[in-house]
Amino acid sequence: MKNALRFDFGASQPGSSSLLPFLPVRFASGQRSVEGRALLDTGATVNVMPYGMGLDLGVDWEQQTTSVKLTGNLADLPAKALLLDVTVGNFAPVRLAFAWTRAEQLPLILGQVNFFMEFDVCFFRAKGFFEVSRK
Amino acid sequence: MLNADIKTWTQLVPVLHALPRREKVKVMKFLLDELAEEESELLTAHQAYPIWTPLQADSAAETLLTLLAEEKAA
Repeated sequence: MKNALRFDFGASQPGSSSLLPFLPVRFASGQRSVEGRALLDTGATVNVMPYGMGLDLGVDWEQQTTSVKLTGNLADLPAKALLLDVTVGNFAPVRLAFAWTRAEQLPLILGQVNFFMEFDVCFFRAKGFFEVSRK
Repeated sequence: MLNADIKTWTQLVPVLHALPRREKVKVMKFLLDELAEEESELLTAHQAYPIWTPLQADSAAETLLTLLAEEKAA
């Protein structure tokens, strides 16, 4: 892919032999900036942010007025829509929409809406890396 | 016999081929145990693995896309 950044698959937990495509990302909200690693999940319909990460960004749950309905394990917990500027590598920041859930025990998930609408990703799992480029 | 210089499948095949039947069975068992151990590191029996992936969260997707469009239009 043209102008693609390459990343290695990483362990889901320290010491785990299960390797997954985790992408280093940087969020900006107001004066705050938070770095994290996000799971690239092609099966996820939407991006999902765990509750604690939103708090780290200084976002007030009560001030978010748009509720979203999630599915699966996340269906029983409330979630709200959140728009954030996200930076991947040296690409320009991109506006991504997240379902900000009250759940804690999940990774930051980047899904079809709208991460995969903004970035092209090529997985080379057998070789242990993946490439990301802007659309 | 095996030596430290064997690094590829092509080098290994003639060595395995020359082994007596009983040794071949030992090699096979060793490999099966190795593979089983690797598998067990990935998944443990009788343990629940939550799947956080929001599959078919279509209404959530629609809400987020609408919000993005509204912000862009503003």
